[in-house]
Amino acid sequence: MFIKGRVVDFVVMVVLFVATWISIYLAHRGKTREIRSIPSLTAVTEGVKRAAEMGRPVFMSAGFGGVGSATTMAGFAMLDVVASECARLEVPLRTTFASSETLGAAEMIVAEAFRREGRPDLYQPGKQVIYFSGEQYAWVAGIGGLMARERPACAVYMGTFFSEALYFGECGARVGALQIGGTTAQLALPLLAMTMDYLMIGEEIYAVAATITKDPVQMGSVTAQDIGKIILYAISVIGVILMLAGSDIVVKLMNT
Amino acid sequence: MSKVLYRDIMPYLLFIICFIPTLFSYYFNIPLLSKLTYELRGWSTLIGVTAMFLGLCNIIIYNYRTIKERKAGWQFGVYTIVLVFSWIIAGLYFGGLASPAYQQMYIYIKAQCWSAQIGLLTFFFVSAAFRTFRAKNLQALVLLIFAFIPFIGLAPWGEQIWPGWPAFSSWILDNVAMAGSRAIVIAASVGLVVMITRIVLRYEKGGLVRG
Repeated sequence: MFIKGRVVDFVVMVVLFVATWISIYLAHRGKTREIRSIPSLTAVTEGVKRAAEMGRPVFMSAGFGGVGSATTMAGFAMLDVVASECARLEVPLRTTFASSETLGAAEMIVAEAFRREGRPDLYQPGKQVIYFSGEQYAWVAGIGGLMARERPACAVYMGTFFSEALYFGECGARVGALQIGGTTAQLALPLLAMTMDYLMIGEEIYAVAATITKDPVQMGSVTAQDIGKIILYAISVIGVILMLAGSDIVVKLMNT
Repeated sequence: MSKVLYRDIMPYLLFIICFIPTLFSYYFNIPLLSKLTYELRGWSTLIGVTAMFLGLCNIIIYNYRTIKERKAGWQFGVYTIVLVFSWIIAGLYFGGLASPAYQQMYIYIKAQCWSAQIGLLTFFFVSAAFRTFRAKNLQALVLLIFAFIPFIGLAPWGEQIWPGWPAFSSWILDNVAMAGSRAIVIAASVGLVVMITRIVLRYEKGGLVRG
């Protein structure tokens, strides 16, 4: 019944599913643990404050992915945080997406954040969420132009990025923006590492909302992520040790 | 009630109906599931094509209004409409995408514009690289060194400097860099599964809710 080589995958997926469920359930009952603060996340709040002081806008991009991408979802969580801060401090917000299907969700998130902060009057449909193009480099050039014209004081990039990460970093550096980046894309990660002031590596981007909002759902998710990582890293370490000892049992197990 | 049904429950039900068979067909060899997933993929393509057609209508209506009301940049609207119809006509009436007319348009218009755009952006890439590789601190210096080794190793003349350079460069990429990148991939994948679980359990709504 199982497709060969996918039994362990399935088991890990089920364990993660159950761990997430239980962790969120426990978090709702106040059983959470301390999460180390990620400097990049506290920098977001600082960046918006900096923009308020300088009278310049904040720029945010959730990258090239569509709504089906989990990194875009993480980008949405960050957009929610950035939009809330912008609404609270009355800072102009500019955000762009390369995928047209994300626009509706992004507009909704920004509108909801401004409403939640009691400033629905500051929400401007079509002005805060901007669409340039679905073509990679046309979108990139659009963002370059936007940054040159509006000179944001803070730029946040979180989602799926490719080579354009280097370009964004340069555009932001030229206008003196405080830059915060995060992605799971292996190609873009070193580029962001080189050009950003603050960086979120890999799964850190999924812990964004938890660290900032302390929401039980997010806190529980981070606990589940840690459980998953411990299991998978333990399997890796045990596999390496057994391989060095001459046993390929873990490899065989993975192939069942 | 109908508002909640339309905005909240319906998108979620659609998500679950599409998600469960697709997920389980990846793990289990059940012919019915495979058939269902195949059908769902077909539907996904159909929805995509319909959305594309709606997008085309939207572009024409939006640009027509811009031209009619002489809004700022209306000339670009004319350009867009002319190009859209030129491509459609070239694709439909001159023998499809492989036809010489379509290919010529692609090579002499689109590819040229794209190259020009890349050419402009390249200046930014170069200055970004220069900004990055100034060794301002220890981290930047380490980055500089580890970028320099594969850079020389992959260059055709790297072997002339030291015969062992390509092998040393490959060892860094295949062992040191690979170990780090695998750890990031594993952690990111775990984060992805947890996020999908949140969507399934309706804790995360994101793009599933209409504004």
